[in-house]
Amino acid sequence: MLLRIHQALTADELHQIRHLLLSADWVDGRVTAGTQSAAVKNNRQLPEDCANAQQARHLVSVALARNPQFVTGALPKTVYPPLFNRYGGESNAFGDHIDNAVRTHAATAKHVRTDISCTLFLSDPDSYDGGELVVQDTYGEQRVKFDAGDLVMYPGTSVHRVEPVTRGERIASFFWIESMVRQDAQRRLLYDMDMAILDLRRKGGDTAEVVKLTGCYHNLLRMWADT
Amino acid sequence: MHCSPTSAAALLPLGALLLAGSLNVCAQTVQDTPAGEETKTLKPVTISGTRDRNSQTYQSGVVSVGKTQAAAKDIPQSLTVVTEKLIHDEGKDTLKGALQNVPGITFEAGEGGRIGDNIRLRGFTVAGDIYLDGMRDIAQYNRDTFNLQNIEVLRGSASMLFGRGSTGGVVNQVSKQAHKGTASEINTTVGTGNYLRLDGDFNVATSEDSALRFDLMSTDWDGRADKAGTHRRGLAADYGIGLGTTDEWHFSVYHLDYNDKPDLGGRWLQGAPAPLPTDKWYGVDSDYQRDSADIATASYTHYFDDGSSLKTKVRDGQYRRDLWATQLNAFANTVTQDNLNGNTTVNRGNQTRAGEEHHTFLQSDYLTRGEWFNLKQELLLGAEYALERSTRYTYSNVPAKPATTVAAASNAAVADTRIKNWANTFKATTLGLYVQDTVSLTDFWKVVAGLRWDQFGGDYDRLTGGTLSRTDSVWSKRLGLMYQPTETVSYYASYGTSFNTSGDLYQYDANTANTPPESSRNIEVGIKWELADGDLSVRTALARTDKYNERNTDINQSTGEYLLSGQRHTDSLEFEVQGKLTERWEIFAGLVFMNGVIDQAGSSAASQATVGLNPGLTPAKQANLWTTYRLDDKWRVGGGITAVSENHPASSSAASLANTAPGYVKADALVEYQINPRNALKLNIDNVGDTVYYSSLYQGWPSLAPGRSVRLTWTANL
Repeated sequence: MLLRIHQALTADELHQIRHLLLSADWVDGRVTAGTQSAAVKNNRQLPEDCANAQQARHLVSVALARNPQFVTGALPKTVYPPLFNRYGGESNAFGDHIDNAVRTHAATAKHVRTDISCTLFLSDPDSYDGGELVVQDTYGEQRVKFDAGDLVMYPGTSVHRVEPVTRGERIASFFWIESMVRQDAQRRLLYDMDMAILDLRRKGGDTAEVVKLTGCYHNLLRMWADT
Repeated sequence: MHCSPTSAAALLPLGALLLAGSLNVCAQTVQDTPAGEETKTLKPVTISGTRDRNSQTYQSGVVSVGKTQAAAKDIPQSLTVVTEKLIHDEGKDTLKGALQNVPGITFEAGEGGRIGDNIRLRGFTVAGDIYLDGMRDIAQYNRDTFNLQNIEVLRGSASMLFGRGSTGGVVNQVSKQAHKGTASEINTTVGTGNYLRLDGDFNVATSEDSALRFDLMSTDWDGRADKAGTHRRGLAADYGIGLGTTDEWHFSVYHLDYNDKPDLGGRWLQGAPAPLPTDKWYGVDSDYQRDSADIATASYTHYFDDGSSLKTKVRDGQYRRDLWATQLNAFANTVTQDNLNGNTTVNRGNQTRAGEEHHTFLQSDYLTRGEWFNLKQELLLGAEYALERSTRYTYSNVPAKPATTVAAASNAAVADTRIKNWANTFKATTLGLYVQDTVSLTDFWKVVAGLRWDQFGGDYDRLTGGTLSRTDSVWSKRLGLMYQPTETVSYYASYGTSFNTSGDLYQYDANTANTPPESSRNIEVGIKWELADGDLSVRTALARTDKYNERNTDINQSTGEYLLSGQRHTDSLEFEVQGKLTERWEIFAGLVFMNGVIDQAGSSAASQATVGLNPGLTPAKQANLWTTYRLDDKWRVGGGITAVSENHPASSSAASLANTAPGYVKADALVEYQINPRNALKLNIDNVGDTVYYSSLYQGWPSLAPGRSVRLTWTANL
């Protein structure tokens, strides 16, 4: 399931984050990458321990926690702290790859299984050419280039890449989620059901049928969730 | 409805209600591995140009020679890009030197008529087809590499993109441009023959989206016999505003001047280069070649919301040249290859010319993408206006150069009694309008079709013979078909035309002013592969370049001699490979087989005698290889060879075409030591075997290439 979340950040948050990021010192992604990943990686990243990165990360985390669509789509158990990257100029692309299955948090030694990958777009799509996130979804190849402040979630199992940015700069936040519901297909069913119930409630209120369906939702979640 | 709908704002998805406020984010103080450790499957196209030279390659995935930024494999024509990394690794300090990496290129030795870089591609002159950032850079001077990012060589007729000329192809120099951020590099090179080169390249951010890049160069070298050397100085600056925004401006200036002692080389003797000692120079100390180029360019690019872009450039270039050189005249009739010795008399003559050029260009390109008629299309609309003015001078009362002997090689200066005279002035205006469409017929098939209309008008004012004038209007076409069944391969076939007007390179005489433009066409099939996950580019092409109704004035002679009259063609089969063979092993190599033939010539017996001959400067085989291997973090070794089969000078006479410079193989070597991430030392040995060879040929003489040289470069990143 590839899910777009419109305006995950408010204009004000977006402005703050962009300011934090643009005033920080970025490094070539390859400076800290190993030999093998250096070959595939061609972007820039923000050193994770810098103060600006931490503030920006906090703003993103707060925004995510309050976003109902994000929460219902991801059913998050643990969210890996958001990272930031920057594509443009000579450092402008990231070839096809699959994210590591488990990411270990160095400070806490906590493992996060990367069920879901997220990209939060921070640059206005008109301000750069290229830079599409291309995801091989279960339904084929999807090319994603959303508005600044929009978020895309897609299964961590997908092969994906970032197309070369041929003009301007693409700044984004990216992170992973370990979901309570491990299987993408199950999350998708739950999400579709949730949305359908929401529509029914909007149109007809909490009818008996809606209550019954709500029960089904919770029972399915009880069956599949791993808390 | 029996119950009113709840307000939408109050409704939340079930999952969100369930988990409200429960988001569990790992602690914020992260010392985590960066996001670079994902599993590798495919690699991105690398665009060279980063200062981190270790991450650059010999491959340039994106090129600008087709007017728009495009992947090399999307251009249905033979294309070689010499990257800054390759130029740096090989220690090449001139355009000519860097172009030795390109199979199919040969060099004509300059005489007094046309001086500076005299390049031939597939046997056809590209003297008028040298470009700087997509604008004509045809003044007569020797170009340095200090401000070059890439050199793009597009083969085959391309008048649709470039206007007049481009029979054999075009050479486009891509300048270093200001980019975001701050980074600087200083290269200091010392070498044999008192070689000293300093090159500083500085990019300074002046705001978040503006920067100033400036580049300074100074080169001195004593040359052959420690006499025929060079003294070059260069300055280039580019100020970029709005970098990476929807309105990007660049203002740049370029200045190059040099004061050289030209080395015009030896002399043909019985069909081969005379066996003169290589450590002697037969010029005199008063010889000089003093040239300068001053170029100012402004460019503005606007990116529209719909993804279209409009790029407009204006340039004013002023060039000066002044030459007084010594050429070797014929030996006495009794001298042969066998009896030439230290006492043999060397007769010497003069080449002396001067000139000024003033070029003004205005060029605008609009590029848009869209889906029309249910087909994805990329449309290019462009216009060009050019005003080119050129004044030539001759010198009279030129003092004779005294004869010397092979062994004595007197270099005593000759007193300058010359008188400079105005000879002629040429003014040319070009108006060009063009359109090109790239249509994706299906996911796999693409068609490129283009049409250009040029009006070229020239006025020639001469000291003797009065004025001449001519105007031509010509259409140029380009058609290419590409089949790209996978991401990694492109099969193509293409057809392009070009034309050369009589005034092309400012050579009108009473005959040429009455002659309509020459026509050429290029037909080519080829394959481009991207192997090793895109790290390695391999291509092959089979091409026929055909110049029919050929006039072809010898641009090296002011007397208007016709080299050929009729038709000639070159068939070429090319193979090239560039990029990384492994993570540590890089390669840049090419091989070309050429068959150049004069098909038709003038009716005189002398002209007819040239039919069927090789037109010269079209060797049958040429190969080049440059490869480096990284031993560890500190050490890198490399080397290469340049090989050219026997070659003849371009000429109109069968006797001159029979002059043969022998084939040669010369080898170069590199050792590099990375002291620390910011400092590196590099040792280049050029012509390791001290091979005697002739890299540029003229019908009057073959020009001896330099012998072994050793150069040590310290590269410091600030």
